[in-house]
Amino acid sequence: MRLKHPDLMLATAIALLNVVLVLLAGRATTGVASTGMVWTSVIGTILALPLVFVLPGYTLCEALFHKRSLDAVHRMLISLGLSLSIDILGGIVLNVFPIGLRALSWAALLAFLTALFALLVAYLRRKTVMIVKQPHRIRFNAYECILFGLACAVVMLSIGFSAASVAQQPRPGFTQMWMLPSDQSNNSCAVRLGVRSYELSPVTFSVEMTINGAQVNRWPSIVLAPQQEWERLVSIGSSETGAVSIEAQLYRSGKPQVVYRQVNITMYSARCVTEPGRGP
Amino acid sequence: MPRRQFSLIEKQHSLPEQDAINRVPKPIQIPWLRLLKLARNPEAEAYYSAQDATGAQFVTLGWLPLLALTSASGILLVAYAFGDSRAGGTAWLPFFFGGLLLIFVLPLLRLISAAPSRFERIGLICMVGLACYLIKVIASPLYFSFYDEFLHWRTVSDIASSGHLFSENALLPVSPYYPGLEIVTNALASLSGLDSFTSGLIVIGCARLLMIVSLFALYEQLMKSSRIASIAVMIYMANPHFLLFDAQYGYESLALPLATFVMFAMSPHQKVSVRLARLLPMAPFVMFAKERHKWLKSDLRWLTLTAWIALAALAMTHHVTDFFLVGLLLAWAIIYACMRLIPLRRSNLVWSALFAALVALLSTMRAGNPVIGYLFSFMGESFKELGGVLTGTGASRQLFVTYAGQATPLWERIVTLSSVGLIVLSLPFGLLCLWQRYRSNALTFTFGTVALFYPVSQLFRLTTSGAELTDRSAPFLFIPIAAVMAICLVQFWPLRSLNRKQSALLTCAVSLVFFGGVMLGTGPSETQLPGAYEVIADARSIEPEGIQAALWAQLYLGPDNRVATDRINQILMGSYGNQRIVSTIADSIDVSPVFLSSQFGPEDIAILRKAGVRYLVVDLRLAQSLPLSGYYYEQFEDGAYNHTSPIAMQALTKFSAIAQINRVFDSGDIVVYDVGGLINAPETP
Repeated sequence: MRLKHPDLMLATAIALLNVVLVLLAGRATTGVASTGMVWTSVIGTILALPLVFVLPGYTLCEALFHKRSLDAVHRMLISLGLSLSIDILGGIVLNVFPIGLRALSWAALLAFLTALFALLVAYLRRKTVMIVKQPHRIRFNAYECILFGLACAVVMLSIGFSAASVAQQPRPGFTQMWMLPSDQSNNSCAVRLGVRSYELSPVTFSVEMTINGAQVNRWPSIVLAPQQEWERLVSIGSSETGAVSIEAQLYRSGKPQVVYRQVNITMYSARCVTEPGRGP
Repeated sequence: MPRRQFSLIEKQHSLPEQDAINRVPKPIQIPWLRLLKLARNPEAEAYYSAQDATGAQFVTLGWLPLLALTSASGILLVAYAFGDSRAGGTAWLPFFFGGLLLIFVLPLLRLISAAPSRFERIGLICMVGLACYLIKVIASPLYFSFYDEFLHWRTVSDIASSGHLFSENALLPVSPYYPGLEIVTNALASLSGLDSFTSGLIVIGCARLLMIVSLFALYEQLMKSSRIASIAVMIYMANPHFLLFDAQYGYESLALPLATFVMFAMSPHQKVSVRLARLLPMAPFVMFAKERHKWLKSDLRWLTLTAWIALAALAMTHHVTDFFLVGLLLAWAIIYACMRLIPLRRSNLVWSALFAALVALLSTMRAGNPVIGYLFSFMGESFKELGGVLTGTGASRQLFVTYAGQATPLWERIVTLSSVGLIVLSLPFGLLCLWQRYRSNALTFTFGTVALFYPVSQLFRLTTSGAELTDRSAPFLFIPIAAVMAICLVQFWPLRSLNRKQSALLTCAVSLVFFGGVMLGTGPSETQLPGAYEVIADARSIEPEGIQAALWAQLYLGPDNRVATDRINQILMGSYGNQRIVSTIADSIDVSPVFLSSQFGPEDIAILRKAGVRYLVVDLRLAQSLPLSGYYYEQFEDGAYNHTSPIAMQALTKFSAIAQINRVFDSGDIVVYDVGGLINAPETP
């Protein structure tokens, strides 16, 4: 048995599959896959691409020009142009509803529009005698297939090569150091002191901390691999009154005289804040 | 000889034309007549149009597979060039231009010949268009790196996190009011689970495809030849913004294809309307005419509806493109009305132009939309500067020298000047051909009128603010220019007499225009392309230290702190860091004096208080050299576009000496200062 409207059935099926996948993947309201599985993203992409860029426009185009046998290029063009326009206007409509622009609302809206237009086309086509030109078939011979395949492979290679060259671009390494006041539940004062290395190889650091010029803490050997972080919560003695100037310096091993990074904050110890005149 | 001339005039020209020709001095009468003969030659493309009509070769692939491979090789060469440039190599430029040569020149040579089928032509232009887009992709395959991309990325992130539109974006306050691009990205990202960067790349790729095919279909409708249409599309690709700017993740990259789509949808309007008008008297009596009339009317109605849907979407996507299209539709409608083809009130074109104007007006007048001020401040400054240059009261911008003082190599100057010169030179001839052959079509006539703005737009290159206006107008002006140049090309080099030498010459000429456009678009000395770090150089200033500092701010300082910083760290802190950037564009407060002054004084404190700044992000690398973009912090900062020496290191480190300012972060080049203690401290009398 031949299907009467295979194009419309396929469009509707893809649209509905999108809704099902969004519900299954748990992206209904967050827009982020809860399971984190790669396959949902791959299938999601394969299904989402036609729903976003082709199907609403295609079905609407078929509804508008059902009496005409459109040129394949023009049909493709109108499908793409209308789909993009429908997406934009659909986004404005979704914004009005409390759910907003989420995976489920997108899937529901685009699937609804596709199915609606498909039904309309099926209705309009029932009496129309379409003089459909037999579409020309594109035949690829082996030689052409090989050339296209090679072209695709070279493009993929170029993208991969570029991505690798960005990742391996020679850059100087660096290290971040920070110090921030920390909220304490018992009204005592503390600071969060941290170091994160983005050097090109493991580096040994030392950290010195002073309060009002007096050294209070020293961490003589902190070995950090690239991307590794070191953080400490340091309490500030409650005996201090007025403004407390806290400084921390980072040194690299082998250069103990040269300050590599430096941070400082002034705290008003009675209130444990960095802003005079403000309560905690 | 004079007798022969007269007979020629007698046969081919009307009486007023004869008079005009007779008034021309004798020595130039023959060249002028030859020129006219070529310009009005109806047979120039006849052979090819006939072939098109039969559609006999519709699906022949021809050289497409082979040229796809050569184009792919071109992309590989460009990827190698970028890799070499990133690694600090100096010999990458020949590879870059060699790659472009493979991508553009070989398909162009093929398209100029008569051999390719319509299908092959469409395949070739799509291939070249997408290959050019891939060049932008391989320039930054892992993350956004162009300045404008960060501005829109912030909007798309806000939509993803809130699920709603129109949230504030301090990086580009006008962006949330035109969220078309971000909406489509959000739809794809939400449904597929892809991140916004990858979704953005796919959306712009689809938009590029829409642009190419729409342009082709538009030109084909106007000139009735797929050969002229494909050549015109190739000429369009020579506009300076095609390779990079309109391939980036920005609203214009989607809006321009939508605008072209509207033009394509409206282009059959005149033909259908005229046919409809002719059928009208017969329709009540003749059955066939009645049916035909109904059919054409339905076509016209649905074409108009298609255009209106796209027009509404465009009004939500990009202001300038929308305004341009409104202007073009109005001009087209006026010309159409002057031709008195059908009564004005029955013209769908007129109604479409009015609808476009109404939608644009509604979009502009939306509460809080800052677009008018945003555009007028920029345009006003450009016109003021141009006025100064023309009247001699202001200095003109030094051409071919970057703001950092780098001079453009001589060969690049020659190519860019030749490119612009060739366009300007071909315009009068193209317009003559257009007048002779296509003036009965209102849209083509409108194109001819709009193309005249190109030479005028070049004047703005002499100004500092307006130089950008010249490049920004190119993607719009090239739509008519490409049509005019393609008409010129096919009329003066008719297909029947086109030999290999002429084909090669034409390929060289169009390629020259293309390479000139590429050089203009990639900036002086190709500074828009990947390479080593440079100070305030947009894509070249985006590097891991800045990105990691912004990510640190997001994680440790929390979102939406009011941050003041330089041009590059603004976009990094605003996007990766999710901070609220304080700037002239968003707050009408210029914080640049705080950074540029050598001493930190009460005026600086007053600015910080007024702006409510909590954190200052200072990039010490700014002291290394002059800013390539012309300014460090704000477009109207002291010395903007005229800095003669880099900012002093003392100006950047002065904050460390202030007791109330906390130095909370240090990564070597980037330091974050917490000025909360200073701005919130009780003021001393």
